[in-house]
Amino acid sequence: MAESNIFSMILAALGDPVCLLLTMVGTIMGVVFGCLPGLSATMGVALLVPLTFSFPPLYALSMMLAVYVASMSGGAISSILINIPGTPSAVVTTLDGYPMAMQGRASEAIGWSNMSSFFGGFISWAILVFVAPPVARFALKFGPAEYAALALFGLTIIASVSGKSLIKGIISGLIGLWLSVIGVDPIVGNFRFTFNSMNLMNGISTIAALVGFYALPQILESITEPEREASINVKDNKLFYIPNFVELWKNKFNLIYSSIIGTIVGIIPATGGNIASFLAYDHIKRLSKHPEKFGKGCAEGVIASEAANNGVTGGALIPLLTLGIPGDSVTAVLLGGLMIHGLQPGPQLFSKQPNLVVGIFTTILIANILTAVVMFTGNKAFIKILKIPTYFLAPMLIILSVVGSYALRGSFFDVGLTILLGLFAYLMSLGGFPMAPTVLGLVLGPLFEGEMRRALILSAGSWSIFFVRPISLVLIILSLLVCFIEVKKAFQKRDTEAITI
Amino acid sequence: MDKRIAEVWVLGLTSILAVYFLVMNYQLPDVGGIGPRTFPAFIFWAILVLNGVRAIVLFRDFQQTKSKDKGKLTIWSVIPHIPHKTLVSIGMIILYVVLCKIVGFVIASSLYVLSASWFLASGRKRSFVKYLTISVAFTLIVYLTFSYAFKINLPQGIWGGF
Repeated sequence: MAESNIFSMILAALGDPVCLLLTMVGTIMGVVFGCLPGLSATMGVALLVPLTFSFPPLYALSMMLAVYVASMSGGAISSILINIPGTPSAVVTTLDGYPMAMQGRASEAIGWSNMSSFFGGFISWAILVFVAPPVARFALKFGPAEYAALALFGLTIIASVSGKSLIKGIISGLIGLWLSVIGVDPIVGNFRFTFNSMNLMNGISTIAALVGFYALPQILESITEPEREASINVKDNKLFYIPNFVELWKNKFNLIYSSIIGTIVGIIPATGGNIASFLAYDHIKRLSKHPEKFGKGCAEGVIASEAANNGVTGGALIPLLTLGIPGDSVTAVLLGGLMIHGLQPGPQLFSKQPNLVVGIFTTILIANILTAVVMFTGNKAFIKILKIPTYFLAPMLIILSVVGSYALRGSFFDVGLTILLGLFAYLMSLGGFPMAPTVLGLVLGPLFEGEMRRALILSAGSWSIFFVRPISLVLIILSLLVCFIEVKKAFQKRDTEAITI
Repeated sequence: MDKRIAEVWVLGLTSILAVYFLVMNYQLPDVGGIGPRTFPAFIFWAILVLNGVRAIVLFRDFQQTKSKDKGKLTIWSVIPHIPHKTLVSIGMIILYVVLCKIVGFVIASSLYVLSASWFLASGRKRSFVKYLTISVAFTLIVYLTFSYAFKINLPQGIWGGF
């Protein structure tokens, strides 16, 4: 796919009104999921996977990607207005956004947050469009050994997203792998662990697992959270502020620098918006002429945080689309969504379905533009949404979860499975087990097992195939390196905690 | 609640299931080399080993906090202390799914949203008419959207033949 053709194809794709409409719906949904604490982008995308199953792949992806992009921006609303980040990546926005709101500058904080979110999203989109095709071309050289090594590298991300306990994270990842081996064996076609049930012949429904692991536990946890309706603090009534050109020019370095930091962090697996915004905030504070103003209502802090966390979106899609490796939980769910539509992200996607890839690029661009429009015009509506009480929201989300798991096959078995997995996931979350590794294991398990066995068949059972091919060898070394670093970090943490005690 | 108690449950459940799956795994045909048994066997053994490691850590932790936990942690407290609100909500979800199969999506969902929101809002000023209107309106929006826009047939229950 030549880069010169991409832009003409993007212009053509922009003309699809249904796609535009669905992206708009996804954008609004994303902002809502982003701004409501307790709901997340992952949950929004997980709920959308089954609901959009009957759509053509591009339409379904338009909505899912719009939710992903818009939720990053939406998280800032609650950060600024109620000092509770709507998403983990908006944590840093509270540092200056909330003090600005307390000073009667909520509109200014939201205006800057919207503008920088757009900048971050746009710059990362541009990088995605230029970087993804050459990476995909390079990845065309991959054979089974390289794919197995790549999947192994993807699985080592489990160690990085394990949270406080590495062992708990690995157990979670193994549970995901466990779910992935139920169904037909990828090579010889035997049925494994199906209990002679027709419903399990095709394996555990990815949708049931996604909704079960990401939607149900969060909904059940939100039930016992305190209501937030009384805590909204808005002193200025305008709530409409667009930074003018002079102000933008003054902050050009911050906008571009933070967006690039966000994109680079996004490319690195197992990082995400929160790390990007912390990094950008810290760098901008250090480079600022008045660092003492940071944390006391400084617009530059909001700009750095929001440009960086939105910059992550385009960056995180580079390994997902070109190599099929998700870097975090949202992209893992997105990968699940792609697979449900029969698509396997990776170089083949670029060579066999260039129109779909361009459609994805276009959707991300549109989603960024629409998010800015929605955020600039819908502030008052979002304040009302923030006031929706949990006692209405939770049952409604349960209905959507049930409908979502039922919709794919019209089967109550899937609904039961969703609830069963959801209750188990809730128990896991009570026990401090992270959910992201389970989803990573579930989506990467079949790729790893299938490609590893194919590679071994090619080499007549010799494991040397993984070490004589340079790309595979590099990926295995990287995987070992990640494991080593994470184990070292876990031991250091244990020692520090022991000293503290 | 004590995180450790929920962890004991997760470790216990996964260990029992891992042993059961491991037995099932060895009943699969052996094709030699890296076959259909190999990867699952690795997963189940790894889970058992790591669960064992966590169990040792937990046991040592329980021993260390024994004096503090005395009287609080008994054999029965291995049942996780899930909040009352959440337990009732889980029961309502299960009842909703059963009801959905019998009476269909519209009636079951309206009843579920009404009863769940009414229950979760207990202790507040509640208006039955408002709650009923919201429940029915939401259910109808979802039903019409899925049936007509997405062309997905939602459960009709006993009304399916009409």
